[in-house]
Amino acid sequence: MRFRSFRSRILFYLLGLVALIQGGVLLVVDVANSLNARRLIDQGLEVTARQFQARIETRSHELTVAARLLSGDFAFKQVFATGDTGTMRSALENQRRRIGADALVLISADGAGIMAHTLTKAGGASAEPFALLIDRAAEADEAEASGFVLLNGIPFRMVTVPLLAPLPVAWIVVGFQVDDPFADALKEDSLSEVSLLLSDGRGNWSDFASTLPFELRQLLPSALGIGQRPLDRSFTLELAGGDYVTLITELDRRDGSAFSAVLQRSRDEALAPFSRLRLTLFVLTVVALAVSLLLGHIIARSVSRPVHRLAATAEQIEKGDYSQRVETRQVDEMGQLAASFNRMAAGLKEREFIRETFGKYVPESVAAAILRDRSALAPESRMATVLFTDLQGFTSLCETMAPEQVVTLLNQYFSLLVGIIDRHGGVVNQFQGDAMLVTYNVPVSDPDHALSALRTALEIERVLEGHRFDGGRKLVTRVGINSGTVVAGSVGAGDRLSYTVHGDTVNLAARLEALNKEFATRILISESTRQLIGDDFDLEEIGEIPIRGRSSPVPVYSVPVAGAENTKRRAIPFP
Amino acid sequence: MRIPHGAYLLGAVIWGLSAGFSLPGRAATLDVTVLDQKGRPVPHTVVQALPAGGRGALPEKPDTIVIEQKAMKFHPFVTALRRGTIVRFPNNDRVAHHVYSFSPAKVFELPLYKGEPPILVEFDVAGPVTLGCNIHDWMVAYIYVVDTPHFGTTDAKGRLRLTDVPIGVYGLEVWHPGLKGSLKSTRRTVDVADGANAAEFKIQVRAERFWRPRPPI
Repeated sequence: MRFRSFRSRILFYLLGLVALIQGGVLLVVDVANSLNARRLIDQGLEVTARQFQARIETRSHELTVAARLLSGDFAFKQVFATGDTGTMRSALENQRRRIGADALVLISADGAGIMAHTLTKAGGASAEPFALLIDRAAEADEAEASGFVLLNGIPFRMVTVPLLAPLPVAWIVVGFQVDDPFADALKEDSLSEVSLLLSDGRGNWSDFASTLPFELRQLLPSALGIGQRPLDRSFTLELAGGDYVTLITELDRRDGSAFSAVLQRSRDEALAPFSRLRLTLFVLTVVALAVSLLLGHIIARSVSRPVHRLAATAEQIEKGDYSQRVETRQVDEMGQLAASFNRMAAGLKEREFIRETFGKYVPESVAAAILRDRSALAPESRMATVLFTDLQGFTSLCETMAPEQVVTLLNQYFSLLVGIIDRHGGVVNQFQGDAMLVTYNVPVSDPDHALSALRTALEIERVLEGHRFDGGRKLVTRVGINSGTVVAGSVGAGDRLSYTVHGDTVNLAARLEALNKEFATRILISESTRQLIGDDFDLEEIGEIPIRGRSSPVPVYSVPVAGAENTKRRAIPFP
Repeated sequence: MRIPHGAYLLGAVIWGLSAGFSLPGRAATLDVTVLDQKGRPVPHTVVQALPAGGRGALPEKPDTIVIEQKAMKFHPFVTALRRGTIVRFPNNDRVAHHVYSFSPAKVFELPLYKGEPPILVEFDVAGPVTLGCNIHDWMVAYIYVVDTPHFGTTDAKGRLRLTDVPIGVYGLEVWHPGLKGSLKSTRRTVDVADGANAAEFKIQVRAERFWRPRPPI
């Protein structure tokens, strides 16, 4: 992936990382929440189911106890013995109110017929609804049983005990209605929605009691009818767009029909606290991303800004302004880069300065020395040795050679000489056509400046004797050396400054060089130079020249050079 | 006066004849055995032999029999008696009892009493009567009122011997407190011949807990 800017790169990765992490956290928390919520709901429903059963058992037990007492009630036995339906009914109603039951029925011993009941309407026509209950009781050891009975579409939880006189003569059936108030009471305890339904085993459900709101209650039977519904295991049921975790627990079974309690909890409601958490996390994610954006921006800026400044400064330097520097307060890698850059710029500036001041040919040592101590360039009057060189026969060379060839030859010549001069610590102050002005002891101090100059001259002569330039050409140099005080310093104006030397010493050196033509010598040195070089050299005094400020002329000496035309003196081996 | 031997002989013949004349025909014995559905002998079974010709006349003087309450139980457990018999229910326990019955054959009650009962009870309708004590649920006993002089209750071995049964055709019926099915379903016709006769009944009997509640330990 290619990024157009460092900032976009950083932002991409940073935001990407944050988004990834936060997204991962959100996902994990979401999944955990869902599972947790589901587990809590399941637990809640199971508890509700058990509570429901317990409630029914308790109520049934209460009625069973009451029924047992009725069964032992002598007065009731007497009532039964009368066989009078009216009396029996009134006594039953009386008893019903005493014990707070919803229904009291007396069934014949064989279970075939209802002898008396407290039910309204025609609900007591046939004993058939009670058949299962009676059968169960007849088979039980204690001759008691409990179960659900549907009378005229109304579900009752009923218990039966035999009427003993003293042995079973009939069945007393006591029951309470399982209706909305019963379900409501259960819902209050358990916070689950409770519905009571009958299923025929073939997917048809009908409801009797429910705590669900009207619309949902209507939808429940048909919703349950779809597919095979698991028992005692929670599943999700959709009602009017909401998800309900549902648990079906069977209360009673008769042939294929089952009387069941359907317990439900809205999943959305249960998840509500978790969705708040999710929202919080989401907000945190957004905040984190925003912070990351800002942070990324800041980090990127701390790199891109210095870099831009660096690039801009480099551009300035490229244009020639070596005084530009990069300012930074950073101490990290960017700071190091800026510092290096500044050092580089300073270096460039110094080189430029030296180049301007001394031209291209300044030896490293000299440049370094000058850079170390700028005061060396301050104008001063100092003892120095000045060396002039001149190329013999240059003019005629120019006439015979093409201009390009001349230039090439000159450059080679100068390169050669400058190399030698550098080695001896001389500084080329000027190039004048084919001539060079070289100084020793200025601008860089050299205690043996005179010796250095002479050695330079001797080596130049020696090297040139043996060296052949292009086309086998041999070149000869004339050298003039003088020592004395010179005035050295930068002269010029503004940007065009150069380091030069002035004074009679310089002039004399030039005159001496020119004198080589007269005396047919190669190297001529002055008296002052001779005094400084000691006695190691074989010199020949070949004349005198007047100099300004002296009343009498001063001697001039030639330094013999091997292979050159010498005067009477024999050649001196080169040092 | 010296009675001649012949007189004694005549007297004996006449006595014999008269004895013979007092019974409708000659008499025989009938041994009845009652077994349950598993082949076990069933005690406490009331067996009655109803003459084909009809019922016998009631005895002129009704008998009085006793069914006592002792050790928190009725004794005997099953009593067969002739219609018209009077029963006395003495309470020989230290606690009072309240004897009652709601059986159609006899509805009566003897409210809480000790010792001698307030009244004697005459059983004048044929059929089974279940006795209970109102305050002691396990105290149960049975009376079976028969309409024939030929009846009895099987012993522990499930056997009953009816004696002095006139020869003839009888309808035999058995009743047990735990009898499954109706009385009529047990009916058998037996031709009682001279001498010994036997009849065996196989009846379906429910588990004891259905007709004999267990007293508390």
